[in-house]
Amino acid sequence: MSPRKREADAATGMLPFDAPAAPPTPRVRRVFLGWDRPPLAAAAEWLLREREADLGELLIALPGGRARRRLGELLARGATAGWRPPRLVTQGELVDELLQLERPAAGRLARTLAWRHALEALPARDLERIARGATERRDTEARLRLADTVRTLHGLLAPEGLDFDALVDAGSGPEQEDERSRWAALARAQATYREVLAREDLVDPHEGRRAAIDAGRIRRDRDVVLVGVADMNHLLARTLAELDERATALVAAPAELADGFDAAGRLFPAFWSTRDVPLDVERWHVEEKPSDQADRISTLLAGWSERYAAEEITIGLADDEVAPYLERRLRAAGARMRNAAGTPLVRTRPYRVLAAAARFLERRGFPELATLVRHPDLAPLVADEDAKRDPAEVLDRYHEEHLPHGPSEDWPGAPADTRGVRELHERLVALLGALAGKRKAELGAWAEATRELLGTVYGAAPLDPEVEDERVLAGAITRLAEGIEELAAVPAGLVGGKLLAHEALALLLRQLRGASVAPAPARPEEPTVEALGWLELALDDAPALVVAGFNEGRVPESVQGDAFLPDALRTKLGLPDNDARLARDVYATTVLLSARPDAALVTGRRARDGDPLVPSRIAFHAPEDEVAERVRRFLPPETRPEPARDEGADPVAPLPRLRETPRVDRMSVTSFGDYLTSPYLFYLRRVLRLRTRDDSARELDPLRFGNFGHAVLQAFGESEVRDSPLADVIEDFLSQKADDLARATFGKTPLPAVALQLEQLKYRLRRFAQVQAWRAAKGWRVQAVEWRPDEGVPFDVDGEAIRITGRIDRIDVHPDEGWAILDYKTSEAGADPAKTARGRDGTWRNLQLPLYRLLAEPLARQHGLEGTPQVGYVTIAREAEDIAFKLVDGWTDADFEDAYSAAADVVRKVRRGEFFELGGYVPSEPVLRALFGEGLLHRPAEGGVA
Amino acid sequence: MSASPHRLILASAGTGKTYQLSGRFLALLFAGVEPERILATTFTRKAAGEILDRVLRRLVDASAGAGALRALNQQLEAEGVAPVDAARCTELLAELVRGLHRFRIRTLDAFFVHLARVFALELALPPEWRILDEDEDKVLRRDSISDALARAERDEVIELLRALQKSGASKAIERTLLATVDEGRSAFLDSHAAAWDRVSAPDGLDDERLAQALEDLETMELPRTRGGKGPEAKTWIRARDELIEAVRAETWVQMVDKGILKKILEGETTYSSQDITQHHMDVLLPLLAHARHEILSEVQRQNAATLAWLDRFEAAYAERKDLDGGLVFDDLPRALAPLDGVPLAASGFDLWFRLDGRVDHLLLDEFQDTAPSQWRVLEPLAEEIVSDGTGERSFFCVGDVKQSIYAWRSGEPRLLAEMPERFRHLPDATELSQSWRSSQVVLSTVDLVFQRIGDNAAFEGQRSYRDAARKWQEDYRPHIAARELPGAAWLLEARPPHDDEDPDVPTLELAAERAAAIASEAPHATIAVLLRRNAHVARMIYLLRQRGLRASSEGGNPLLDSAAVLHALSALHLADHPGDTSAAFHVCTSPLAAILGVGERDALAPAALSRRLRDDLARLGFGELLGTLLPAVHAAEGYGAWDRKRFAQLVDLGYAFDRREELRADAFLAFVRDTPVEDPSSTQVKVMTTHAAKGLEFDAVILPELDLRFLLRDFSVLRRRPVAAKELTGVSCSRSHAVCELDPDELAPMRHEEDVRAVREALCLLYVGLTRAAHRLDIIVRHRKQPRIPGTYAGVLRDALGNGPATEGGVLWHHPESCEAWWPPPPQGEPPAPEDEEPDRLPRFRKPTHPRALPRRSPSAEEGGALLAVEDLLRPRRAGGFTRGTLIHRWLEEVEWLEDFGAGDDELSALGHGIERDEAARREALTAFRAALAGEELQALLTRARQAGADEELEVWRERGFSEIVPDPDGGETLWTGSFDRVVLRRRGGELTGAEVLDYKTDRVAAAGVEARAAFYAPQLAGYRRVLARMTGLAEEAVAATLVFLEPGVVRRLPR
Ligand code: SF4
Repeated sequence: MSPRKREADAATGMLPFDAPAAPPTPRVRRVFLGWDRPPLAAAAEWLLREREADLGELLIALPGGRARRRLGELLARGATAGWRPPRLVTQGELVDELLQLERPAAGRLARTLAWRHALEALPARDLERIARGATERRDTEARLRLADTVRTLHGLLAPEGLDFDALVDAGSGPEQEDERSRWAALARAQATYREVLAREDLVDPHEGRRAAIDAGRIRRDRDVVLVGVADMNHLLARTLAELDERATALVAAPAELADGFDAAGRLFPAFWSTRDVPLDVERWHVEEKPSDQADRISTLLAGWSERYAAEEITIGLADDEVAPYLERRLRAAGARMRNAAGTPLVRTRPYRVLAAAARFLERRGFPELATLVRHPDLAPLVADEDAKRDPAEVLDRYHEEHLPHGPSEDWPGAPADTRGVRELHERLVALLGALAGKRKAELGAWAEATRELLGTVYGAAPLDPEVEDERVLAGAITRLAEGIEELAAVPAGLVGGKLLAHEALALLLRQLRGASVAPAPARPEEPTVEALGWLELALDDAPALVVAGFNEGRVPESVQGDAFLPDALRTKLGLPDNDARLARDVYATTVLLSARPDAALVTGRRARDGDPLVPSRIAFHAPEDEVAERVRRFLPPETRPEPARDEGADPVAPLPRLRETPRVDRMSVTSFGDYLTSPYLFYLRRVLRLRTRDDSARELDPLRFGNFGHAVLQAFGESEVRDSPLADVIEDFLSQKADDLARATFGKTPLPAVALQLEQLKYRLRRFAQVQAWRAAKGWRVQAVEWRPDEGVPFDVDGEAIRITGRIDRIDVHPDEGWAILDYKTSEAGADPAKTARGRDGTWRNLQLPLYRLLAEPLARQHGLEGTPQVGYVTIAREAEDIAFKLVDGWTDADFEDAYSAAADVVRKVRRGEFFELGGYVPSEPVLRALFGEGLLHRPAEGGVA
Repeated sequence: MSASPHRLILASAGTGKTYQLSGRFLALLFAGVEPERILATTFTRKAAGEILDRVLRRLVDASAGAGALRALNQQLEAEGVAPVDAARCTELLAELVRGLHRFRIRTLDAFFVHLARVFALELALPPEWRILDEDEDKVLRRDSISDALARAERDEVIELLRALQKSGASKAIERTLLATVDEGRSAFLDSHAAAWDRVSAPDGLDDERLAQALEDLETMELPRTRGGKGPEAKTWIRARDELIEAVRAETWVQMVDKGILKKILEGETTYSSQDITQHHMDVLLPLLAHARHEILSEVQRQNAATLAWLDRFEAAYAERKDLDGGLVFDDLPRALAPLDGVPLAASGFDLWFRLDGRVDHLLLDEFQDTAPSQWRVLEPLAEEIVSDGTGERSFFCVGDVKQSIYAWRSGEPRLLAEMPERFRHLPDATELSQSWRSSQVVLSTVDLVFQRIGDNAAFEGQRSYRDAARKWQEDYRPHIAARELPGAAWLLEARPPHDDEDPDVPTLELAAERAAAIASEAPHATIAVLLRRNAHVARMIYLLRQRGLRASSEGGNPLLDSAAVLHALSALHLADHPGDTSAAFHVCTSPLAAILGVGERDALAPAALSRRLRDDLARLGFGELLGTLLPAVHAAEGYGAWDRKRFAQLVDLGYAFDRREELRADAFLAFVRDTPVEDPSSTQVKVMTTHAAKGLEFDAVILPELDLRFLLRDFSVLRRRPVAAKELTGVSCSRSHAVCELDPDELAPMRHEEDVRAVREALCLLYVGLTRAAHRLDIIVRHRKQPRIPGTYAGVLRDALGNGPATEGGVLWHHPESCEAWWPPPPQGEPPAPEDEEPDRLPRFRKPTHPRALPRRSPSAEEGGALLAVEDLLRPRRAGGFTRGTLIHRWLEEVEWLEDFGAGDDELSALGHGIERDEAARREALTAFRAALAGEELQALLTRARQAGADEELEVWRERGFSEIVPDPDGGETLWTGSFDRVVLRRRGGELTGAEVLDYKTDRVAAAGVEARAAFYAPQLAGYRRVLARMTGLAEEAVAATLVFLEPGVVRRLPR
């Protein structure tokens, strides 16, 4: 220890401290396997040699599950038929094989719940000391989160023979009164925790094991062999110590390095943490981003694939982030990366059904409903009988018009509108069965209901494990079933009463979050590259191995600062600390580099999100004179730009179109404006009649806001009060009508933003009432509203008629001033009708108003309306001063004729199929933007005809 | 160490800021300081990475001796550290890289994240919290708005909306409220409620007096023309009528914004060259006072409503984030140093204990970008260090006020300026103005622009702008080139735009032409086109490509710039929305249609395609689904190299997104839209915004987007912060200059401060843009018809450099010392090969021969056949029957032959203790066990005498484990594992003649149900038979397989 370091320790209050009684070093027979070949193969050979075909009474422990499986395979392959296989366990399972617990061990969920009880029982002062603000947090989620944190912390200490009581004195120096009081509070919670478990006849597994060792409840009837177990926790060491000499450790190292291991075959950290690793610089690659690491590995594999079959290669994933990039590259090469991590349960379909159901049951809102019915496993079960309409489409359509909060008893809207969504919801409720109920129940009942739901959704046909999807599905269902079973088994006393369905589901899903479904075994026809996590790599037996993410923080993991156990404290307590982890990983690196002909390490410079990464410091465990060279390798190269000249031009695609264009034999008055703004927009909207759908809105879009306003104004135009000169009367009517219509359309409690929009509309209508009253007072009368000739009116262009269609918002008449055609506008700014219709240079940009006159001809004839009508807008705009009757000043018949000829021009172009110009329109909706090529590096080419 | 260990450095662009910082870092290390005792912070992750790179690179270089070592020693000497030799460098290097985990070089954000993690519970943050992605945060904000709305009284929000829209009634509720949050939240977090209540309105007139004032106005005497003899002045008549109209319409702002009242406000005494008399004042002042009252009341209401809304939103937002366990970066300073509370670092917690060691040396880089809220977290640490008298701890801070372009992220350059005041112990600031980057031509161009910026005509008529520019000029020092480098600089005018053409197009085109010319004369030079806004980046790249230049963007853009990506996104949108025919049309007319197996028919009826995609998504996830399209994208003629590259990046994003448990495609689309993805190629030409160029340098820089106002948009919030390190003392919604002048005590200074801030930042941006160039600057402005200097960047440059008229070639100005051969010397060696556009090199594997991870089977899992019934998977394992079965199996294990079986009940019960702890349950099972053994069929089966034939020796295996690799019919292999309940081997004369495997079944089956169960178990038994045959070497026919149903006491032998 450097003087500075010692000083520092004094400064931070690190006084020499004796960790709880160090575990006795077990007397174990050590066998050195060497590392000139993969340790597992050597171990299998040794075992078979030693025991011949009878390994039946042997208990073999390995560091991880994957090594356990692999040793099983190697033994089976090496043994003669009829041999007696040993019992293979992981190091973590070993203690439970050897110890007999007095009471059943509490599962994870039970422990979390017990901690929750224990924390809740603390005096407020203690609880606040552990987590500020926790006394005020009554919500289940916050409390479970805290309980989980404490459970994890306890689970870190207990296997090492420590508990919170031990930390009160050991966990802090004299200067850390705050730390000490925290540990003391935790120790008080711990006492309750134990009581709570004991009351349910359960025990914390680690504490139960410790008690079993103390009481001598140890099975000594089998020989134990440890394979490659380089470090072990306190409890395991104590257990082994009790076995006397019935344990053998197979050490993956040559006998010359015996000094690096203790009597139990564990690493001496001091020996390993300073050793050089046999890393040849050529075998170390430094790349920029995760995708570059994947490219590098892909290239390495390409070289190896000439010599090795896929199954002879292992990829080590020290950094998970690289995994997806590798998956893609291997898939592109026709191979599979078999990631030992398997498929996370959270990504499997049945988990997602339950997760979506839980969220739906909790909030019962429309977005949750929309997510749930989009689950492809539920959709067919809730679709209407002949599955005519996709449930997603049913909801989208309904959402567009009614913006519902969520499913309710009375779906707003006309019966025809609501039938689809109502029935969909009913079928969903039926499918969810008991879970859909809103009453609380015991966990057991929810467990049963959850099984039933999974049974209904997935039970129709048996699953074939040979089909990958079904295998994963079966695996996921099995895992969920186990979780459900554990849930049902949680003693009622820990749950603290009955729960709602979503709370029970949340508990279930919570405990399964980290679970996964094992990857599919290798298939004969498919080249498969194994991918393993770092911890499994040392024992792997592939002749070729490459490690991705050989970076500091991953290899080794290190702690600098911690909420409970900073590294210095870990060291003091004898917990695994940075030094121990470094030693372990130096050893692992040494083994994996030594034990095979081909090995490579790949280091990244940056994480996916751009965070800078540094190489594993193990890469610098090399002779001092090599270090500079290695550092140079890691430093980014001084890049030189590539020459800018670029030969290949990228293809330019034409604007998307269909080969067959639907015939256009009618055009609405508004569509002319579309064409004049953008012929392509006209093509998409008016010729192909494309729709967009989206259910993210939480308020009316401008179109639907306008429609709603129109509906209110139509009702006004048809009402008794339409010609009233009294603003109050009109205002009352409009306000009442708006409320009635809103209730019919959006229900009793519309979305908050919709309710506000309604208020805003009423605010605007108040002003409208005023201007309308003035108009009525001047003698104008409403003649017709929402008027529409049934088949449109014919419009002759070049001897061929096209039908002009449309609906006129309102036609007014006046005894002296003639008649007027009016269009309601609800856009924010009150548009000027003349400027909207024509550009400054007089060219027509919008033909709606002039064409209305054409449209109104039948009505004019019918009612004897003569002369040139006034045309204009009634702007129901944002600002009060913009709410007005805005009539075009002085259009003469000649102007109308001019407009008709512009319209005829449009018709001709439409007939010629001239659609493929973008014009000046800039769409905002994402799909339309894409069609218009907005933001593309290569904009689509305009031109051509349909 | 030198006299004071602390240092404050003001470093102009290119003057070697990182060099200074790395020098200090090395000095500390050489002085024996442990790396974990040094905390160095900066702002971008890239910069953080570069600091460590620089420290290591200098050591590597110095360890080779020579120049680098000399330079290092010079700097060490300046820092008061004894010189070192190459060997010492090597030694230190080795020590450092073996302890890379000990470095604390971080972004400020990362440092805060670290602190907030370690102290999460003390800070009342959710344990295990995480930083939310941008798109997640967007959703959360929208949700929070809904929540806040649902909780607010309707009238309250209506009031807010009216206030925000100045009495209008907008229908875009969510957008309006979101904008309020986006713009107001940082001010909200950085102020007390009182700060929002600074604006107060003087009293106005009551209705009666207002009516009177209006009447007075109507009868006000107006000045007459012709020396009082002519008619009333027309301008006055119009002005009066407008006033009358404004009072009636209550349009108060218009009232003071023009006409006579405006003149009065500005202190003028005449209007339209006629005196404003006392009579006029008597009539007008009451009206002015009333207008002031109305306007300021309205501002006041808006401020109060905004504050109330932000408060409500913040509560809902905090709840949502808590539920999610997520935070955004902005939350951290607030948690670590709350406005109303003690900063964590000063709260008495032993910070260093939990952080594993005390920080003794603080190195702050890019300090001008620090926000006051961030500084409040750091300040106690800095304070502790600066006031430490031992000389063992040091504070080092470097920045450049001229490069503070992050005010929109609350960066406060005044913190740097005020540093000497704050810490008296600091020595005077060192100013660095010798540039190691740029040629003198570039630097003197910069000088020409900024040395007289205070008098630049572009700020004509804008008092606060002018003030900001003057302040800039005051702090500006001329730049000197440290090295003699060739250089050139031009100010160019683009051609006039055609009718209707976007006026930016000619400047962008000219930029592309200049880039092409530069690339051909200096193929080794790096070139950057710096833009003001992101919007033009893709277009600029396109224009360059048209000229045969490959360009890439720095910092990255979302993937929406590739058609192939957009096609895929439309497909995903369609998956979520089967009724979206426009998405379907987009997909079905794209090259993807072929691989998806759809055609034009599907464009208008896409439900089936939608369903299929949704199903694939649930099955494969986003990454894999998109991955399956990748080969088609490579093969499609409609896609080019760009599409291929971007699509591959989309697939990678898909895999990354799959970590979220999100089923809806919409969420992925939002993620793609909000996630910038870098185009990684190191092309000669880069296109980026000036913001993204910070910290970079290029041989040639082209600036084509300069005809923009200094403020891209008006700010919506005005802020006042008298002390840089302290909270805001005044906040208000923004108003025009004229309105702000109505409140000279509060609003006017706020507006002024905001203007100054904004213009200062605008100038910084220009400074950063110009100083990126090492050798050559091409500054491009739009064509102008009039010579008047506009209030834009272009105006600044025209006034400073030359306003034309332009030469034929469009040159407005060029630096007189520009040289023809302006480029840097070409590097030695081969130029790198152009980037490989081939798909990645992929391995080609042989067919597998000896797969590892063999398929495993276990006979016990074969019940019911190879197919798995979901019902069985769901059945509880441990329910009732399970432990009972285990018990009975355990006891049966004790039975070799019944003749020898004499275990008593107590003994058996004890054996079962570990399986079933309930005594009564054991007893019950034991009774059943005894009853089963008593049955005739079992008696026959388990009695040796009744089993052994003549001369037959029987061997019994009980609970015998097995693990055998058995060849499959399809050529593969399967590892069979499991254990037999009981096996009887028959030998005759020592030779094995037959075997029987027995499997005990404890399910309670009625006698009638036995056949069905036997059929169900048949596949399992077949498995046992197969394995046993393999183990014994017997033919399968010689192996019998037998089911023993204990409860009905029935034995069934499987047919051979
Ligand atoms: S040629 Fe002239 S301008 Fe260019 S570097 Fe030499 S002296 Fe300077």
